[in-house]
Amino acid sequence: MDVPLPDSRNRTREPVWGWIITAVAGISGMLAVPIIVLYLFLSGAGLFMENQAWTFFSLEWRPGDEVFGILPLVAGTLTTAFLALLLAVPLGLGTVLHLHFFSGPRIQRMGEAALGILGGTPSVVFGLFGTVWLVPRLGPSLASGMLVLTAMILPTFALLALAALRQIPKDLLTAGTGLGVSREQVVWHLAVKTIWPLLAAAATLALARGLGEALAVEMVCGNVSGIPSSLLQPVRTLTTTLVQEFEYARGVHNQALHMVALTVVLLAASASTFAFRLHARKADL
Amino acid sequence: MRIACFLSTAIVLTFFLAMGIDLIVQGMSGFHLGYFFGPVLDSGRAGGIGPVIQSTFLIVFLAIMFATPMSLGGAILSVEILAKYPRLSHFVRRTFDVMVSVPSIAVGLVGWSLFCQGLNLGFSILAGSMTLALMLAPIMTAAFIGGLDAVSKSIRRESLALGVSRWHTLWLQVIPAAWPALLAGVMLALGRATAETAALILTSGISIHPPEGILDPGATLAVHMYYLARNVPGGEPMAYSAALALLLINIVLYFLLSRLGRIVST
Repeated sequence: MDVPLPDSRNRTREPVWGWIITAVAGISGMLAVPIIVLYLFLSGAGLFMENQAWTFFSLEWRPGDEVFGILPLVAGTLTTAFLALLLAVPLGLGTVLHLHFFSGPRIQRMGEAALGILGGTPSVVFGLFGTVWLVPRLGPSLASGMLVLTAMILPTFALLALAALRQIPKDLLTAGTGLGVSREQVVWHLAVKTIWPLLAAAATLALARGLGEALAVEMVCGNVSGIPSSLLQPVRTLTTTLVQEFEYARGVHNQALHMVALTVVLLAASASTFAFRLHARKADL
Repeated sequence: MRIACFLSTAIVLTFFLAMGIDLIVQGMSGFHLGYFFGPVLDSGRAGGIGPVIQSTFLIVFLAIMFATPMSLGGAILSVEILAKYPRLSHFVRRTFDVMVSVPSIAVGLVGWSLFCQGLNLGFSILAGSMTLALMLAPIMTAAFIGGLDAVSKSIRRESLALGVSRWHTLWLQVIPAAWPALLAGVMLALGRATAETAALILTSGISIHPPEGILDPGATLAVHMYYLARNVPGGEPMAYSAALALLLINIVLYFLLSRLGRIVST
């Protein structure tokens, strides 16, 4: 019998160059983000050298006067993102619970497809709806920014939450039902309480996405710097500042913008680190 | 509770359905024969999106071309090479998970400083696609790591036991077995790239003329839509058409991805 033998000389030897090229490509991919962070820090750190450190923590952002207080921008970013999260989580959780536990397979599939498509929709499309629907009624304001962000992060949260619900062991639910517990109680006390860390992780990841969103918010939020005191006031966030000022920023202003970008990165990265911490708690489910 | 769940579903679906209907009704008015290929007229208030489609293709294609080798290398590094050091490998994976959520605007600013100003590329398709590649690399790597991980260990062991080198095991066994997942990772990146605006508006700029080379500025469809809605007075009707075109692309990508997802899971 003729068994075709593989060309053993070729396939048993490790091509050193191949591995080197792969490793170099891989290391460059791995270093992409650390280099971005380092670069932002190095370009922004000059701000502290030039005796501008105090202005960085002041309460005003006035590039014209070389006053670069970042706190109002941070406040703008955090309020819009958290308010959006406050709306998106209950609505999203209700939706996925309804889809997963209380509706037939057809509705379930349609709902999932709808959420999947919405999750991939470019954020500027939501920004367009904000400009056309919200701005004429609410003005360019915190409220408009928050609602646009809600529409944007709700699908993100819902898709992650749905993935979490799928991880609940079936026996848990059957056992609950077998003990004569009502469907609603099974859902709330067994399902939701078992996977709450995963749901919290989903919410935190959605928050990270909200913190980093730039253009959709920029289209509707008014971009006036200051700590917002009402929902109808215009607001300015870290990201929208970058969009509006990057092109003409020179010198200290340019350095300040790099620090602003670094702040956004740190905010989003800490949210997402926290999310994966939460996620790891339930990895053994 | 059941009622609360139903109500929230109703609210969410009504809103998104209203958006969809509004988008279709208003977006259709700008569609005409040759919308996808015609020139942009009157700063975007009329005409088609031909040049925009060209730039979109160029930017997205180049970005994926730049990002794929880096990401595949990164995934191979953490799955195959670092496998001997479980702690390091675990750390690298967690880092990639976190890197996925780096805001694109920050990547955009670095691209603007490094490529547009540092390398003197200005607003250009090349600078835009390099920046986009930096943004896509962690996303693709995370997806590729998942794909390579899912290939059963026994395939690797059997191949190595037959005396095949690790390199050939990787390229002749593992990667062919993982290809649907790898392709899904590329598709995911494709979706993110077409939806991206923040990183690109800072680096590839805005242009309504057909790009003559990769050193010309160019707007992707999403950036074009943003520009119409934000900076062109009376540009909203055409912004709707662009948004509808984006939605269509997105729907096609979604169904291709879920198809692939089914292949991966079987």
